[in-house]
Amino acid sequence: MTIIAFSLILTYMSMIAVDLLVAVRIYRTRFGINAIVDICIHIILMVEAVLYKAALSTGRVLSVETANENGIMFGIKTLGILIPLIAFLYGVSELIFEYYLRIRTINAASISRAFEQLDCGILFTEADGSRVLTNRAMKQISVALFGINRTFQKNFWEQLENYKSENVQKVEFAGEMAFILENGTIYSIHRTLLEDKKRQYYEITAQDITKIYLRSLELKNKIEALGALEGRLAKTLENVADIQQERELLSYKYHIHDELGNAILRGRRLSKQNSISPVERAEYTENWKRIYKLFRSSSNQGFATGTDFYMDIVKTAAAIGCNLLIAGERPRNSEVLALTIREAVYNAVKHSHANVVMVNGKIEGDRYRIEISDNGSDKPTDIVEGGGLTNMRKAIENAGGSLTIDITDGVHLSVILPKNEEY
Amino acid sequence: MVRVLVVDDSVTVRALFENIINDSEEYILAGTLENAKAAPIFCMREQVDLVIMDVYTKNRENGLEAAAEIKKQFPGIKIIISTSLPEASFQEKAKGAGCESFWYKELGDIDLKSIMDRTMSGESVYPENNPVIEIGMAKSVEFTPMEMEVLRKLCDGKINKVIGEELHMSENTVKFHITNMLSKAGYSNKYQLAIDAVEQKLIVPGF
Repeated sequence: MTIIAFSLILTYMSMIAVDLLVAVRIYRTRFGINAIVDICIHIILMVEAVLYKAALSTGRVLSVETANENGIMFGIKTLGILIPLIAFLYGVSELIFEYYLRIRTINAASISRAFEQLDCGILFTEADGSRVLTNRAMKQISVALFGINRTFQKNFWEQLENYKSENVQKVEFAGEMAFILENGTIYSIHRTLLEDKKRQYYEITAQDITKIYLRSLELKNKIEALGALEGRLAKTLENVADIQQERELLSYKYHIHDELGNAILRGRRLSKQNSISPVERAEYTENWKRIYKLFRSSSNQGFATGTDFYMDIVKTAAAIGCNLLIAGERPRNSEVLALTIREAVYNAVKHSHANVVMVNGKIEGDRYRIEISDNGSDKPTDIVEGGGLTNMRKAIENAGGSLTIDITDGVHLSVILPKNEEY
Repeated sequence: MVRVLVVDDSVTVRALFENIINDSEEYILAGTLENAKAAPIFCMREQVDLVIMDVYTKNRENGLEAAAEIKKQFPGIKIIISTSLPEASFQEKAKGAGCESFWYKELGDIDLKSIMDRTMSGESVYPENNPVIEIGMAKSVEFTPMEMEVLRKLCDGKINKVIGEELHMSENTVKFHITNMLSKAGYSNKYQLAIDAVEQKLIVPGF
């Protein structure tokens, strides 16, 4: 009987040892209340076995039969209270364990595991670039970028910044660098400096932006298309205004026709009358006078524009007392040059009190060089660009040319315009 | 004798004005110009008492701006703005520039002479109302001042975002105003609205 008791004690002791091992292992990752409960159960059973041994040795239990009667009854009585109690404690401990697992049980191992599973790539390095911690996704990206042999070198970040490869395209997205991998996935890479109490680390993250990137490309294209459309609208609106202007002109021409028709009708009526009163005669004469004047002034100034595209400006210049001389080679019908000469004339007369403005153009290879100068008596010492001059510069630059203003001795404009282009 | 400068890019209109001036006893033609920007320079060089200024002149030069410049430098010169464009903002801008009178050069009630006389005798002659224009099913006066501002930017070909920034309102507010105008006019999109506004000269882009 003693053998049975000892073997029981040994069994329970080895069970406790296993429990402790399990508890220690588990404790590394989680709070092991359930392990402790296991240990408690086994300690109780072992105590029971010790008590049984004691009962045997003191002779209170004499035979297997009586042992069964006394010992087992003792065991049943003890366990009858203990088992429900332990079951209850176990249940409560499970609840508490669950609660702690969610809230408190973050430790190095759990972080490491979660970190490893993250979809986005993360790499922590020392301030000098040597690797501290990285995860699976980052390793994959690094291998895709640099190949298996050159992955995660100390100058990882510098390598990324200077990255050049045939297979992987480097782009910029939202101010960060991004890489389009061979499999079509796009990662945006970002670096932040983290400061501990003592040391500095870099956190380099790689975020999968494939969807966002493609969407933004799509959006960009759409915005561009929209921009082109808006530009066209602006142009159309301008044209609409000009067409309307033409219509007005036409209405004035009708007015002349009315006047003419009126005079002819009146003439016919008068010719049928026997006598014509002096008032009627005066009105009729006045009628024709007006028509004569209208036609005369029209023909003087001409409905058609001058033979030279720039003649209109010569006329405008003359009206403000400026003699505009245009010589040399120049684009034949350039709105841009016309605007430039016009502004130059306005400025020369207004600010320098010039009465002669000279425009001289020549061909230099595939472009025109047009020099504009004046005989102004007031020579400005500095020029504030604004209004007309800004418009002039904008128009010239839009046409692919350039404008230089020299004010060392009077204002001297030098305009470069490309040849063989319409502007 | 009152010396008159005529600024208008239409030969025919200039001829009509010149005739009125030449036929009169008290006016004499100081000069005619096609470009508004040349007008202030002309006034610097010659004696001018009255300017008849068109708004939309040759090379899209703005007569209202030129008028403002003349008024700034020579407050004594009287100015009559003459336009055939019913643009909603022109009268206000002319008043802002200090122009004495404003005249819609529509044929029929043409009586420029009397406006010139009244202006020279110290009167300020403005039409009582802006001309009413029909934009789709709406009359131009049905648009609120804010809607008109949005419409003006729209006619410059600007997108909602830019309009919002320039008028200090959110993009949604811009959309709200446009939607309101569309429902008033019975149009389905903003392009139709803008083109109609420009074609009817309710708005002249860039002026």
